[in-house]
Amino acid sequence: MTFRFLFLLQWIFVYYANAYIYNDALLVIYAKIVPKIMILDHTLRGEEHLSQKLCILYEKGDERVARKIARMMRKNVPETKRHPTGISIKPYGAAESCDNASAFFLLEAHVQKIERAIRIAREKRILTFSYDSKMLEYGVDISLHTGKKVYPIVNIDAVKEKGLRLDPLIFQVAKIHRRGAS
Amino acid sequence: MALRIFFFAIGTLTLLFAESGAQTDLSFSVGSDLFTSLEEASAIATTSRLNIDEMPEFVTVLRRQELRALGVENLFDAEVRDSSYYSRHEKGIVRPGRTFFITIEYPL
Repeated sequence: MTFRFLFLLQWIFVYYANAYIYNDALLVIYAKIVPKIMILDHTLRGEEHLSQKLCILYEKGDERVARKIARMMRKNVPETKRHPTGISIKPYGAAESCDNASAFFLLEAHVQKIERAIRIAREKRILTFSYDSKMLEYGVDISLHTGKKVYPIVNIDAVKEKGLRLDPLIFQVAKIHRRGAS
Repeated sequence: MALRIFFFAIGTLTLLFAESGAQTDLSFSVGSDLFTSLEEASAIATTSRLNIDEMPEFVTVLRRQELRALGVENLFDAEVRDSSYYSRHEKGIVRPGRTFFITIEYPL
């Protein structure tokens, strides 16, 4: 009975506040790995190709989570003098205004918003990471597998389509995801 | 004049190689950092039980008295009874089909 009540409460919270449930340990893991992979993206993007900026996209109710993971990521960005780096947060609705972003980190959201963000990323050749590995099916480039071992999963079709130049070191540790295959 | 062009070409090539070398060094250091972070992440996933579904199965040691009390006479009986045993006694977490029993007290 208590479980049912809690489930109902959670459902109401998710529905009305547009918020999702996040696992703290998983946020820590993403905050450790994502900034390092971002630096290993050598894609040339016009004049801004030397700056590597990550934009975290969130649903309206998840701003607190976005701020939290941004704070953790800032501590884990490798220091490089050649690449000005930055981490910013924006709601999904303002994905276009992520100035000079070289990467998106997608938190949980409605499918339509995810697809829109991926479309923007495809147009601007922006590398995309997602909190949920299921988003690889929608065209996200990289997510993480958190099983017995943690490793990145690279959506090779999406990466090739955008013409991204990822460092071979990523492929040493990553597993490849192809559309329609897990 | 030819000497100037020669030195200019040498200088340009040196700069180019230095640039690509710097990028390789950067990739190498960030790469090794990535490997370390992945190991740390695996440790976090284990301690926080994120990856419990992919961990090796539980191994439970049952003692002679417990088995006798359940009417178990051999290991086959013990395996057949595993989930029902726990559901009746509400001990520990049970995921049917993943719990194996080993007895260190032989014979029963």
